[in-house]
Amino acid sequence: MAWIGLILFLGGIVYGWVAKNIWVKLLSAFVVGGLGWYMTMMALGMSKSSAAFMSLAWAFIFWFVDATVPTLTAIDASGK
Amino acid sequence: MAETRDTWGTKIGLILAMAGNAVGLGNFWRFPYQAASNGGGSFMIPYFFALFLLGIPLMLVEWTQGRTGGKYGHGTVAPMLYLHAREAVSPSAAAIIGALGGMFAFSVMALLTSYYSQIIGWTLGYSYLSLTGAYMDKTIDTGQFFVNYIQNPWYVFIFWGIALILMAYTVSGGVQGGIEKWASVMMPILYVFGILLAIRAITLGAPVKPEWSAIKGLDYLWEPRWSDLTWKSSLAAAGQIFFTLSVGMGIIQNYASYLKPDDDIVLSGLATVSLNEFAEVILGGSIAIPIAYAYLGPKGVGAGVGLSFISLPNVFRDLPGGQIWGAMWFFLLFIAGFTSAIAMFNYLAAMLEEDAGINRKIGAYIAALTFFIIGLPIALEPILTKTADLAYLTELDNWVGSYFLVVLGLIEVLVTATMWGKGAWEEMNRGAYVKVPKWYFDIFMRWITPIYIAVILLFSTIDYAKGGYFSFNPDTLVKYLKVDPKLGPWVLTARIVIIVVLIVGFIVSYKSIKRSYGEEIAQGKVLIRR
Repeated sequence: MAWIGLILFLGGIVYGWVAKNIWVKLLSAFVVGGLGWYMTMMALGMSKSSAAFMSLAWAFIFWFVDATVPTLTAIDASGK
Repeated sequence: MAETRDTWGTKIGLILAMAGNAVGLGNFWRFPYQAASNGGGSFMIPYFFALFLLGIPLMLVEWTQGRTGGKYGHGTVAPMLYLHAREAVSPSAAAIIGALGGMFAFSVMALLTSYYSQIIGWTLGYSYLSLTGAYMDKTIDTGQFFVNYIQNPWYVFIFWGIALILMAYTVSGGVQGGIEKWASVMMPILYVFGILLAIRAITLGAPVKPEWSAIKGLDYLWEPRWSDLTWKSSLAAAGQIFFTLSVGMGIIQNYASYLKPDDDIVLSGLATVSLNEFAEVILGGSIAIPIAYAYLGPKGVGAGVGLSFISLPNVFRDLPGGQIWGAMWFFLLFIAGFTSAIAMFNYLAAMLEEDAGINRKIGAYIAALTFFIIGLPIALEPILTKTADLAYLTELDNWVGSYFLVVLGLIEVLVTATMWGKGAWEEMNRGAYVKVPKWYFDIFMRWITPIYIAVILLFSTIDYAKGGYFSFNPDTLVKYLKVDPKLGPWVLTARIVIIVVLIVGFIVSYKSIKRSYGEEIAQGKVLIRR
């Protein structure tokens, strides 16, 4: 369970980084990544409410990073 | 002057420098402590609320002010505020508003750096002492070790001096050749160290007692305690947002002034916020608390600000490879502090360059000397009085690091968003890859953000008045600061220094505006446009 969660989490945030569409980023980093982290934390023995709050906060921040930094890097690379 | 100003080389270099500016010591020791003591998981509700309604709007306002200022050749807050305020009021009124804002920015920059640079020196000293294993002997009391450190003139002055010289050297290299180059190296190191420490912390297991595990530490941090979620904890969340994003200091504007006139500021500002939040919530929330909980239990995480320098060294000596992990932790804090402090150095260097015509290379070292002189009482207090209360530092921090930021933030948002309005919205969106919606600007940035800040300021003022912070009686001062009564003169001196710096800040700021726009202030109409 912890490993499946970790793979989902890492996969979600990495795919969220490379995806171009903002909604795909949201689905990948926020939904899949957040769910993966929740599963990991639950498997490691965290309480349900703590894991839920932590995963929500982490999912939002990873989505926020995925939505802004790679877009800016791409603009930089294109020389605009 | 505008034509010869330095600019950022790449967008990613700019974002790393801006993130370095925002990510500071507070991300790693202040955030977990604030979250844990104000409701845990439920603290994140007012925290994110404040991020959207206060942090992001202020960040965008500051980027806008900075880019406008840079177009006219300014790197300091006073003329930047003047340029925006003159769009809504007469040039003479705009000059007063600009000088007031400049006064607070000058005070924050001068006084905050005076003690922030000392703490950076401590982190550097502790990195060295961790590597050499100075506190690894279990018979050493880490609390007393810290007291001995701040009372030892050799340690204090050597590491503080190294930090000041390194910062001056970085800033003397210019924006592209100095700040951007150093941030491009240091920020990736900070994130790598942070990630390594977070992985180590989360995978610690339960090395001392089965009920003390790193995961239980995360549980402690994230457990939503609704009863702790009060009006006061909401104010703490808003205060944390100010502190963590480095807004209300004038240093975001200073960095943004080196943008080109049509550079994107919306996406760049949002990227800065996202990288800061990554450092704070993801990394800051996953290092100190889980480590301290796993080794010291619930009592260990309640150490507050002493967590970094007193509690964690206890842990590092029990941890396999503790010397390396300890050095990594303190060096992470050093980088976080360093990349923020160079922004404050650059503010003073820009001021000396623009207002006094002093070359940047020399100006950076004059800045170091200035911060050394202003910071001397902070270094000398524990050495001369053989106390460890740090009363002078605490008094400066109470005003500069907590109160002035909010006042300056209010002035900034009122001038650009509320007073200038539509023009500011168009200016903000010029060259933007992602535009700020008009409804968001009109509802949130023009009205909700300033009201939110005004409420914070009002309640902070009431708290300060109740606590006796406005008193000038040394006996009252030591009582509210809870420090040794013999430190009364130190607290009073700090208070006098703050007032003197405010007065100097107002005069310098007004003169700076008058030097560039004296003619239009005299004639009462805008004459200079770029």
